[in-house]
Amino acid sequence: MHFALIAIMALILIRCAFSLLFSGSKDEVWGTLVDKKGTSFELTHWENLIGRSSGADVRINNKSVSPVHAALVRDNEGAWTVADLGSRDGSLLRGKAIKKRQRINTGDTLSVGGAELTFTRTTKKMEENLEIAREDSSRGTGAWLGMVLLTAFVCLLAFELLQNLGGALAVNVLFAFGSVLALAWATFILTLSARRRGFELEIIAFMLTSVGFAVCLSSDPENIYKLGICLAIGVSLYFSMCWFLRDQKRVNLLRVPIAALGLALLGVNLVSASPLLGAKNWLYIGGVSFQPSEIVKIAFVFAGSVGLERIFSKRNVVLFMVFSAICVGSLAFMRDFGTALIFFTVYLVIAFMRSGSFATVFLSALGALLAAVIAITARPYIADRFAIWGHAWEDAANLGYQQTRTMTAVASGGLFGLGGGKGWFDSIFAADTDMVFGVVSEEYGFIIAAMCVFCIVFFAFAAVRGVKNARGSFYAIAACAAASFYLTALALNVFGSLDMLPFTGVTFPFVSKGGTSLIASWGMLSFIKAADTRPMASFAVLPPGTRAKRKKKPKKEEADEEA
Amino acid sequence: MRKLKYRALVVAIFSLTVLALLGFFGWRAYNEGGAWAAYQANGNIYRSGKLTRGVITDRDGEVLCSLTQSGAEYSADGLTRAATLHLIGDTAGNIAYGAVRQFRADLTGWSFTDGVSGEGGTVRLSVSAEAQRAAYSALDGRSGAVAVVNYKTGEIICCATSPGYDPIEAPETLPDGAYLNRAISAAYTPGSVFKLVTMAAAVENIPDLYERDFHCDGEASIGGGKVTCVAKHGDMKIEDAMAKSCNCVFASLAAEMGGEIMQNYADSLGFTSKIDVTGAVIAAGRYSGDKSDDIALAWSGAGQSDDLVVPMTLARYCAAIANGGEINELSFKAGEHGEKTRLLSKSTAERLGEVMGYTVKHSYGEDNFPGLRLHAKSGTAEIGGGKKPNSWFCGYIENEGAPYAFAVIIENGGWGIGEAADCARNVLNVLI
Repeated sequence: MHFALIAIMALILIRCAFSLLFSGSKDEVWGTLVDKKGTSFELTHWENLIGRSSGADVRINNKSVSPVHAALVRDNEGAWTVADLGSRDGSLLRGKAIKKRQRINTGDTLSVGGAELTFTRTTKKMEENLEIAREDSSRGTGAWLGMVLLTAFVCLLAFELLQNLGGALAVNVLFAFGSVLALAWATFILTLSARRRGFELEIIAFMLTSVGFAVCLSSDPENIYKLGICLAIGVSLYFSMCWFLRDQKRVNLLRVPIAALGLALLGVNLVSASPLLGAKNWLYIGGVSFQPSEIVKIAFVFAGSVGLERIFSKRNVVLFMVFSAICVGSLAFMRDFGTALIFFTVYLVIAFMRSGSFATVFLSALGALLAAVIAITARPYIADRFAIWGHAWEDAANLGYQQTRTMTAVASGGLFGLGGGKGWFDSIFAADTDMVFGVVSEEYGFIIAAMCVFCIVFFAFAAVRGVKNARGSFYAIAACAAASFYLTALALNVFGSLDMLPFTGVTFPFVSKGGTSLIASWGMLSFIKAADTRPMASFAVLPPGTRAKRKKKPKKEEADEEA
Repeated sequence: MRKLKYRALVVAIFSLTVLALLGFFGWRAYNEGGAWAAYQANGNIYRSGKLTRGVITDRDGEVLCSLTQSGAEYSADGLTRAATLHLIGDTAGNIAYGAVRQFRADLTGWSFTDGVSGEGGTVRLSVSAEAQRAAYSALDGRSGAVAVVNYKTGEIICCATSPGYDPIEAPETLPDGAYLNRAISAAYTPGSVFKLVTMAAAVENIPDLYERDFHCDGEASIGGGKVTCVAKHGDMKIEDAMAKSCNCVFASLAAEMGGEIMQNYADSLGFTSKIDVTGAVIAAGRYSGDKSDDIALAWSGAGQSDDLVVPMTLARYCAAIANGGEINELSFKAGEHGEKTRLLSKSTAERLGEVMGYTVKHSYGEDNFPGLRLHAKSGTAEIGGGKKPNSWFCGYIENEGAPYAFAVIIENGGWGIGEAADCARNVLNVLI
């Protein structure tokens, strides 16, 4: 019985949900626009849309203003620019028409259509004061208690597996959970020393990772050492990316090279991959195998996420469409249809975020459907997977093999599980990756398995919540894209193995056994972290009053922040 | 940015869809999880395809078989083992409807909350081990079957078949058909017991049936052929025709009503199709009203054509007669009452019951069945080939505490009122 594990897991989830999803912190204010009548518009993002549309950040209800009229954008150093987004009546800055992006300073007048607005940017001092006020009004995130709960959760898992697996595997168990706790506490202290208090995403991710480690210990205990190393790499990647994402200028500069690198990696994979279990998506370098497509996911997010100005000035997504088509096509060619499907779904989400048009999304979906039909007819084994979908029990010995056994395992575990390491299902080939929901359900119970799903859903809601206060649209889109990667993989993994979707053999983020998948899952989390603008919460967000690149030498206090 | 805030809701909808799917799966697991867990690939509770937990008992709690890690442990008593083997199933899986297979979902002890983490389950069969032993002994190695059902609940009280064998001390070579459960899976020429079917059709289709005067000269010409009786029955009413089991009368009634009506009754009374009961499928018998000539149709009314009846189906029919025409569908599980099924109208059922009581009183002799308050019909089914006829006896007893209907067949047993009736009496006597 896993009452204690369930209780702790539920407590962690609820606490994190409250502090991250339901905390009503005030907006960050970066500047104001005042019209002639004295109405003031606060600029609460780094990218602000001016227009008549109800979705505009500065909404001016005046016929002469286009629905999407102009963009007001701040950079990391606090410099503001304004650009006209192809409005009908044009925009004027200091009385002159805006042709291309122009610098705007405090006191400048900006005319959009017939409306005249005076711009004031918040000074560094004001920003600092505002941030202090925001901090006072915000609830404490209580990360310390969260860490204590996480530690208890990990220790309980370790204790159970030490009992059930016997002395021969004691070292493996201690290594696994020791490394989780060591990394969790090290990064927690790192976060605190950078004067950040938000650690909800990390706690949940470490919790999921430890469930994944528990699965690995019962199915393939020798592999735990490799996974431990991959966790360290993944967590390092996460914090490096968080640091990288702090500076939007840096991101914009390297966005395209990263995307290109992703394509190149996929190309190398395409040329030299070794087929493993049907799909040719593995690379072997120096005796280490890894799955490039997992890493390409991160490049894909960089490629798809763009700034506000670009969204509304170049409305088409053709370039990204081509990029996506290459990714999806290559994966399909490598016979990794599950991952191809994941990329495609994320493409749909990004395309919708950027265009806001269901038509674009619908058209792409139609095209993909056509391609899918061709793929299915060309590859009989995919047709088989579709044929068995929903009828797994009718061919339990062959086509429905994995699905029927997963359902059997889930039913066997009941709500509370048979005990870590005590199940039968983990001896089935690939149970610990493609059918990991079955292993977790059987050994730890349906409640814990369902809570693992809630954890991923929590990440998705964190992304959606982040969009509300995200500084720029890159961060908003990237967070949603990352969430979609998680959700699609989760849905295909869980419901594919339960015969509610076609079985494709993809991984459950953080939980499925697999080094590259673990690294990519952690890396992906940084995109969600970068959309968390609660006061002094996110390692990936610089607080107001600090500048990413200072002309002057940093003071000691600021150096700490950068640590 | 506000635009993106709204667009981001697609991710929220996506999340909610995932949660809805998970909820739907939970609901499925709640309903179907028992069957999933019972799948024999489940290494938690199966060893090389054999279930390792669960206990099967008779209706009184007598343990007939325990499944353990080391295999199936049958009863300690050899007679019980042989008499109940076909209800439990053999270890090699040659027997079709053993409880080990049929009720495996109950034997796993599965529950939605605990999965298979608890003990195995207990399945209480509806049969009485005492009756099984009595029936198996009474069959005494002869090929045949005994079927007894509770006509008030549909529970199967006895389902014995012979020849069988002791699964622990099985002989080198098993007798022919030892795996076959003759009570539910074998079909025989019915002989005179089929007159109960012809009678049901006649009651509802010949308005003056009870007023008619019948006459038997020992033979009758029908459609150019000849139907014979064992004796000249002389003048009689329909009740005596049944009591004397007059072939001439029932053959001419069948010919008069025609093949279509006969077919309809054979079909609606369940004699021609498989019947799904709790824990097994009763095999289909055979009846065709579309005979090559009138004489064949006439003979079919006396149960003496190419038609076949399964013993349990006949017991089921007798149960319907006893219970006002309606039964709970049969079940091998104690306390489980199947769906209500109506085979006959109440008045027809009563008419048939009366005539069966009359038959016992005036033909078989109530003294031969003391204390049973029996309503019955015998059958002596000629099977040709120089073999002794198959001996049938079916009916029911009027007894508040033992509301049982039955059918007995003994292959090559000779007269129905002889061997089969003796066997039925032995079994009923241990049950009341």
